[in-house]
This record gives sequence, C-alpha cells and structure tokens, in this order.
Amino acid sequence: MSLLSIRHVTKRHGHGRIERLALSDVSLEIEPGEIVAVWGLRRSGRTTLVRIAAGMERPDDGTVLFAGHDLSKHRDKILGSEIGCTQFHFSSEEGESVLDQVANGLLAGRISITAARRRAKEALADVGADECAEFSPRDLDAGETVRVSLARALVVEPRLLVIDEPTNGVDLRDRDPILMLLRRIANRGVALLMTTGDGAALSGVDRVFTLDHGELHGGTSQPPASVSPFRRPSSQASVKSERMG
Amino acid sequence: MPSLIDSIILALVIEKPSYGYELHERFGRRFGKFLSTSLANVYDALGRLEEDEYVEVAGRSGAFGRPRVNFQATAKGVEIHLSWLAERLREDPRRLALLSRLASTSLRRTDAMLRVIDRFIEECSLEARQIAMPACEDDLLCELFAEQRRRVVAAQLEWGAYARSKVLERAGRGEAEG
Repeated sequence: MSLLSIRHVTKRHGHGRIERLALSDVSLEIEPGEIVAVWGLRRSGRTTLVRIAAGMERPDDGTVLFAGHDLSKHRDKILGSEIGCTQFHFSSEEGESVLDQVANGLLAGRISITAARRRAKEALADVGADECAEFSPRDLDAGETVRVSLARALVVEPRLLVIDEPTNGVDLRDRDPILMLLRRIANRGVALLMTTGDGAALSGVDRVFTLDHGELHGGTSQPPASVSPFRRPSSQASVKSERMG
Repeated sequence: MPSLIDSIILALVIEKPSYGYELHERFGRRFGKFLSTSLANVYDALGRLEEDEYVEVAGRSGAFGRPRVNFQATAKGVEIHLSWLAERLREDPRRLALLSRLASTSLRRTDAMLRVIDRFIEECSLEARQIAMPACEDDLLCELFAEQRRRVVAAQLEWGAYARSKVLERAGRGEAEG
C-alpha cells in the first residue's frame, strides 16, 4: 500500500462556457522517503494537483488515499499532522515573529507555548533558518521564506510533505542548498510531492512527471530504449549479398 | 581548428607537458568513459599539432635506448584550445538546423509530431532528474558545466511543452476549419 495514492482524479474549475479542465484522469502513487516532482508550465494544473494531494480540495471524480484512508473523509485528521503542506505566505494572525508562526501549528495539539516554541526552534535549526527566529515574516527573503515554510510544515512531523514550487523566486545560490535540504528530509523517510515550473529544480529527484493541460505523463525512472535504425551491414551479411548479387 | 581527438591531446599537453605513451595512458584515464583511441592515433595527433605549431618538442629523454620525445603546448596552441572550448560551450546551430529540416520532411501528421515531442519531453525530464546534486564535489568547473546543462534541459522542457501546445492548437484549428 502506497503512502499517497491518487487514483483517476479529475478536477474542473469554473462553470458552463468558462469551465476549464484542471486535472484529467490523473493517477500517481508516492512511497515513504521518495521525492516525486511534477513539472508543468503555468495553468498546467500543478497547483490544483498539490491542493488535491494535500486534501485542501476535493476531486470531482476519482479518489485520493492516504495510507489507505480516503482523504476526503479523513481530511481534518490527516491535514496538518500526517500531511504537511508548505505555504509561502504568512498571516499576521498566526504570530508576529517567525518563531511564533512555526510554533502556531503545534498549539492546536494542546501543548504549552513554551514547549511549542522549543520545538519550533528545533525545526528552524533543522532547515537552517534558526537565525530568522525573531524576524518578522515580512523581512524574509525568498530562500528564507522557503526554509521557514518548510519548518512550519515539518514541525508537526508529517509523513508526507507537499510543496508547490520550492525554488520559485529563490536566488540561484540558494536553490541547490534548498534542493539538498529536501533530499535530507526525504532520507528521513518523509515522502515529498513537489511541483515546479523550473526544470533545473528536478535534479536528484526520484521520479518526474510532466503535467500538460491537466494530463499527467511520465513518472518512469528508466530512460526509453535508444533507437539506432541505421546499422552497418555485418561483414557476413555483405558477403552474402555479394554472393547473391 | 583541431579535431576532437587532437583537441583532447592538446588539452592533455596543456595540463602537463608529456610524451606519447604517457598521454595515451592519461587519455584513457580522463576520457575513456567517452572515447577510446590507439597509441598510433596519439602520435598522429601530436604530429598534426606540431605541424600547426600548437605543440613543440620540449626535450628528448629515454632509457634503455628508447627515445622519448616530450611535447609542450605553445602560446598559439593554448589560445586555439581556449577558442575551441568557448565555441563548443554552445549547442551547434547547424545540427539543430539539420534536425529541423529532417523533422519537417517526415513529421506531417499531428500524432507523429506529438509522439516525437512527448518522447523529447520524457527524455528531458529524465535527464533533468539524473543531473546529480551536488553535481561535483570541490570541482568548480564541473559544477558550472553541470549548471549549464541543467539550464539547457530546463529550457528544452519548456520548449517541449510549448511545442506540444502549438501542435494541439493547430490541430484544433484544422478540425474547426475542416
């Protein structure tokens, strides 16, 4: 049984003449410790896929199973604990400082503020953003925003991390350290589903799908067999043809 | 401009002045993964490079009656090698022009075009995944070349998706007109 299993999912946005097919019969599975990337252009359906995989949207058709449980039925129990979804915007209601933003996700679990802040500090240190703890989220650059968002999602120790464009707007020098951080997280057994429009962010992931107008392609880990149709005739064959001629 | 084999021999001489047998050994260690060559080819390459004044004899040595001719790169040789490298950092536009001519000869049907484009996208995405990260440990040039490859593949992926949408758009227009 896969950790996440998306089966024949279709999703439409809008109604009537402005209806648009965001996902069309999409299926994919993710195992623990695996990084699966979905590459697509804008409006390919990649953000819808992330939202459906995280249980934030329901599919029109098809099912999403998390560890065998129907995500649409157990969403409240799973989202924010078993599934971490990386959000790159910060609401001021969730805390003035980065530390409080990260700690906030734990408070629903009825632990003390002191304990939540201690764990938030550990989560920030884990992603290399401990220096940002006392910053306001408004003061973070793109790379720090990604790291803090990862800490916020990871602090509840999810089994699946869903990330929409982890390197979007990130400085080139910060990009690879962030991708290496994702690999380190996966190596601890966390499954990662990421979408990206940046082909350079696919380095080192385990499987790549491409999404085009809501249709998912690829996902194999082996290159297609090479084709070389024009072979020189073997010496035996040429001798034979000479004799025949 | 020297050929590929000649350029590799020239690069090896630039790395360290040397003689034919040692250059052949170093060729195998450094480039054996991509190419193979014989000792005779190495001597032929050295002859051509010397004739073009890209390398010159640095001295003769040898033991047990076997003479050994050491070659070193000339300033002209270093200059030509750097120019050769800079030229090849880019894709060969003639190769792309030839491929485009070939494709427009044989790919007239929408399904055939999509098949080729889909395979192209699949290969690009697999290559993008296979570029390891970090690409190289403590080797800046290797790291920079890997980054260039990543960017080329990223652009190719975007081109593939764009090409796919243009082919589908034209097919849809054809159906509507038909």
